[in-house]
Amino acid sequence: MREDFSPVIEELIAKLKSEKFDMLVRCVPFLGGKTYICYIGQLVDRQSISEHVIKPLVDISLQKVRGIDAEFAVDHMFYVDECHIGDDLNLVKGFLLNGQTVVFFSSDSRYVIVNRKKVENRTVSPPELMYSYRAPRDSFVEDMDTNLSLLRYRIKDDNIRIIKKDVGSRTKTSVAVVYLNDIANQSVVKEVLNKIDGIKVSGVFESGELQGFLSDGKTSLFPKMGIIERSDMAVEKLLEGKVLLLVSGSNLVIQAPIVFAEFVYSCDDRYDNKFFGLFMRLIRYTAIIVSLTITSLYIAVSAFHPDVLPAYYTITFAQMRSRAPVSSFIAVLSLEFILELVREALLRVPVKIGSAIAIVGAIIIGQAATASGIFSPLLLILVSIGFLSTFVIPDFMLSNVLRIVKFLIIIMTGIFGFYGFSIAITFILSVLVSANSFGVPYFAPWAPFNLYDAVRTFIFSRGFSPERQKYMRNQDKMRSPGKKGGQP
Amino acid sequence: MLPKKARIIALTASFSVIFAGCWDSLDINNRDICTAVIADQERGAYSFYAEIANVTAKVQQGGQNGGQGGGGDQGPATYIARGHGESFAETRLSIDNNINKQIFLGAVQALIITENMAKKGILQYAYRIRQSLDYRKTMDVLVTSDRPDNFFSVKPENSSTVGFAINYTLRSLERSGKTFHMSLDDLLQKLASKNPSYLLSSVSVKNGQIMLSGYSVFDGDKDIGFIPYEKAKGTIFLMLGGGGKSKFDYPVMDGEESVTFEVSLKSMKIKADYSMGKVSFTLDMKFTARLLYPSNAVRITSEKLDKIREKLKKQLESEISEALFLSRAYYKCDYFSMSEAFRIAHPGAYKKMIWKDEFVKASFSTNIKVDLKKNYSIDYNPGKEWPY
Amino acid sequence: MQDIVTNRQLFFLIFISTVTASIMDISKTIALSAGRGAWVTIALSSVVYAAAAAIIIGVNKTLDGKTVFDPGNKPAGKIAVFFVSLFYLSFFFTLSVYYCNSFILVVKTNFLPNTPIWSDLLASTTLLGYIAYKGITNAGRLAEIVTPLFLAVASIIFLLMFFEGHINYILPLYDASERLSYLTAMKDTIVPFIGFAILTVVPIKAKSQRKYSAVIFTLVFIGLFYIADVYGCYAMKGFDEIIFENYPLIDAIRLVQLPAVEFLQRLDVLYMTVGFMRVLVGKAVIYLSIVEIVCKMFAKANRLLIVVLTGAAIYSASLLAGQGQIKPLMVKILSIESIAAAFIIQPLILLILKVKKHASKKS
Repeated sequence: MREDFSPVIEELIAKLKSEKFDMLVRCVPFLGGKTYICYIGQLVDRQSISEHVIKPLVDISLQKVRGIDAEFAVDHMFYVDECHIGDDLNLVKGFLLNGQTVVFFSSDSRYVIVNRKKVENRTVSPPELMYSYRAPRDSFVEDMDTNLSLLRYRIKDDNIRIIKKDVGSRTKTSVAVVYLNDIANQSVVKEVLNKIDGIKVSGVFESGELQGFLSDGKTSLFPKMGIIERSDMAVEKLLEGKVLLLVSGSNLVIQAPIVFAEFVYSCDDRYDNKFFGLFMRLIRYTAIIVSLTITSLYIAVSAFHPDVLPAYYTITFAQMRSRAPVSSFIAVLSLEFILELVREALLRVPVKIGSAIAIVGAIIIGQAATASGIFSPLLLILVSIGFLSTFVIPDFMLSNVLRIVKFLIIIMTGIFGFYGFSIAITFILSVLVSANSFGVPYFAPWAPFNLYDAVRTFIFSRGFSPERQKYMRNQDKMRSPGKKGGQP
Repeated sequence: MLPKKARIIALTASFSVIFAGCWDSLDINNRDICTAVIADQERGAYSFYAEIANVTAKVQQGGQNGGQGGGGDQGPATYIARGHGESFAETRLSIDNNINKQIFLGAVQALIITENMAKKGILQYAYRIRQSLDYRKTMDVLVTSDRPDNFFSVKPENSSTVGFAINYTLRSLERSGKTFHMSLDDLLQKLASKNPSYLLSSVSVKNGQIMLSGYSVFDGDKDIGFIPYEKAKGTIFLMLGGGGKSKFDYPVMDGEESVTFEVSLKSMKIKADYSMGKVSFTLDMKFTARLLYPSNAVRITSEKLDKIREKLKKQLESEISEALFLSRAYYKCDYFSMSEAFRIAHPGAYKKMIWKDEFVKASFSTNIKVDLKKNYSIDYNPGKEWPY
Repeated sequence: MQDIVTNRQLFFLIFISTVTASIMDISKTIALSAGRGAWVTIALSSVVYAAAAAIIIGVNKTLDGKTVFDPGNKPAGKIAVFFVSLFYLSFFFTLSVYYCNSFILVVKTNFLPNTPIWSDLLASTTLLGYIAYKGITNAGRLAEIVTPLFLAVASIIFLLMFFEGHINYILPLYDASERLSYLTAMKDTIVPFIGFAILTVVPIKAKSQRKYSAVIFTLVFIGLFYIADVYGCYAMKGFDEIIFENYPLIDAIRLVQLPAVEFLQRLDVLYMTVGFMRVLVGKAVIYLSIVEIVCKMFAKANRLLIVVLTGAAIYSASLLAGQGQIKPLMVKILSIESIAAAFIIQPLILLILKVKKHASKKS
């Protein structure tokens, strides 16, 4: 005679129900006992539960089979791919909240945990942040399993490791740490895992939050971890020895470590002709310099050193500003602020009236400001060029930082002219060279300088770059296996 | 360490003090842009005349489209600020009183000194300008025999201001190899050297236009003479030296016909000798004469070319000799900087001598060669190889 | 963790800390003492200082990852280390004040005449403190970025100066009658070259490779750089005019015209924008040397506090130095201290270390 665990089970169920987290219970009797199927309706695939869990139980009960327990159910009854047996009653609530279905058997102290989790999420869609004209369009979504599947269908290496952690005492957000065991620097992997374990917070919703916890320093302006939206880029980073962090509920994957040069990199450079890639990288670096410095140089020339310009143009320049009621410094600050307002407004505005806002912005800023004489046409041109330049940078995280850093340079130039400009640039460079991302110098490969990596920052092709970046200190240093400098 | 609040307050206070500054910030539209300066001295008193570009006048003329830039048919209006005083400081103060914005001297194209002032000496004025970092040291320093008011009464057709007109005229002449450039820095360098003799371009108003009229000869800081432009070819050849920098058209007469050549000085080697206490110079000059056009339709033959070469050579010899004579015997100052060649060859001897005295006694010999070149596009003797 | 710099970083660190202030006026100084044969003086000086730098490397290699300021130096003894540290502290402090004051006067004279010195100094000293706080490895990395940029701009400008200048102003390059003055003029090259003394705070492992050749190459390169600077200034300004200018390099660059780049009339502004960065990093390296020495003297003190106090001291001293009135005095003091720092103390230390090593091997 088997022991009857019904009272214990029913007591547990009653307790769980009293906590009112919307748990549902289906009871199916069988010969000599009962099964209790517990789940939270919003988190499970109810149709699947009905077909693959409840139906087999009902069928078996009609057959009047005796001695059904957890092991019998797992081996002979449940038509599910993922189920296992548990015995700790204290963990039941956690399983239920995690979208699992728990099946109790009155004749068994153990229970079966069935994974029929189903959360509403969107399908794989084209990328919005990292759009490319020549690259795959599948980007990550909020569902962890979908993201992992996007990764795994591209890379079938047996060295891939996926370590899952739960972060957040209340949200228990699932974070997957993915890396290639024979390439990634193990000290980086260790550091990432340790940092994740050290996070003590109630909830994490997005990868950006996690990034904040993992980055060093409270006052770090430059991002020490990168974001990836596309699966092809993610796989490329794995092959370069990076560690990826996938956060459940976030469509952006984090990579660690990252260096400054990688923010200027886009997959187009790799998929297209290498000379075109070189050309585009030069354009992007120029865009960074332009976006940072163009308006500051306007202030320096206009207010401090107008004799830099040819004499005739000095007069033209003065004419353009002849009706300006404010100094060039204030004009630049105002116009930059206005453009930031426009940029922010365009992010928030509903799509249907977005174009109207853009037109109004163009008319107000472009036409009216010039005609009223508040801003000179040259200033508008320069600020617009600077504004456009920030969009040339593929990674928006860096362009966001540059928007802030630009103001520092503007302010220093406005006070001290070219001297202040130099001080600001030197300060920014010193911040960059002294930063580290998980032990990797942030400004590598220029500081510390490595010729091999520095050249390949600009020109990349498989044949030209058989070795991985030296600053990553990966275990496997060769991209192309076999002979050094071999063909792809 | 200070508590956190104290640190924040200290940082904010110190940066607020800095940010309250912008001590050197002054926008270009809040400055009076000066494009030409004339300095005059009469009866012991100094006068400055500054041509200031009026940046707002064009805006008023242009209406709503004002501020679109000065690329139109007419440049900005200008006005002349005048200052007078017993000293430079007083004169400058007088000008500052007359203008409503801080003057900007970085756009000055020409610094013109009147003959009156040049004859009295420009050393103090040169020192005044040297310490001022506002002027561009590459600007022209010129002399004029005209009155300043006459000068600024000119309305240049192609240029917006008198300063720019002078600058464009001189630059175009330089580019075509017909004059040399004497900048403010060159002047200062000469005044500081052991041989302060030099030529400054002289400009004047003729027929309502500003023209290069010749060169004023300076010994030390005083104007001692004038070489008219029409007679200055030899001087220009010697000043510019070799390398084809100088070019002039020479019509060479052959009876009633003439053949015009473009003559440039291809190379000039100056050999300085010093023996028995006497300085001597040998100038080897190679000219290139490119055939331009004849005066009639007669074919140019090789015999004709030989005759022309000889005539041209004589003409050049005469011009060069005359230029050297003017320098050594007439004005008695080494404005061709022969001292440089001598110093390089005989540094020890140069240090011990008074160059001015030795230069006057120096002897010159010139070896002139003329190499005739055919015209690149026209064949003046079809069927025949050059030299025809 | 020991700070380690690569050979390349070492080159840039030495270059940037040496060619900080002197590049502006070396042509005037050397024109007065050596005339047109200045290249002889500078070439000889660079060889002599290269030897002195090699001695410092020898000392640091013998100390194997430590410097003469490390208190645990058994061969030297605590008291000797203390006095050596004190001496170098005063030397670097004087050098730092000299650099700061010279630089600020350049800025005030040529670029920001109305901006008060205290304001310029405050802005730059804050930045220097930040760089010094980050340590020598990061200073080396910063030098790796800034120096090549400066070298590229300077090389182009020097080349232009030679093309646009007058060859006659430079010649003759050697005058036999002035041989003696070429040698006596070497005293004027002490301050322009002494920046290499920062090697004393750079720890070097005994097994480090090619450090000797790196520093010798660096000093020779600096000599060539100064020669290009001096003769470029001669070519543009003329020998006679240059001795009246306090900052002949800037004046010479102002004369350089690039017809193809007509929109940029003042090349000295372009040069100085990069030049300011170079000077700031150079000053930061000297500041860092002071911080490193003090940190070793007071190992338990907070590094940030040391950085702030050092900055305050340099700031106050630079302000007190005024508008160049005590520059000749500073040059004299520096010259004496430099000779002691480079040619007396280090060789003496090396000798003591070698003797002790030899003695310990024998025993």
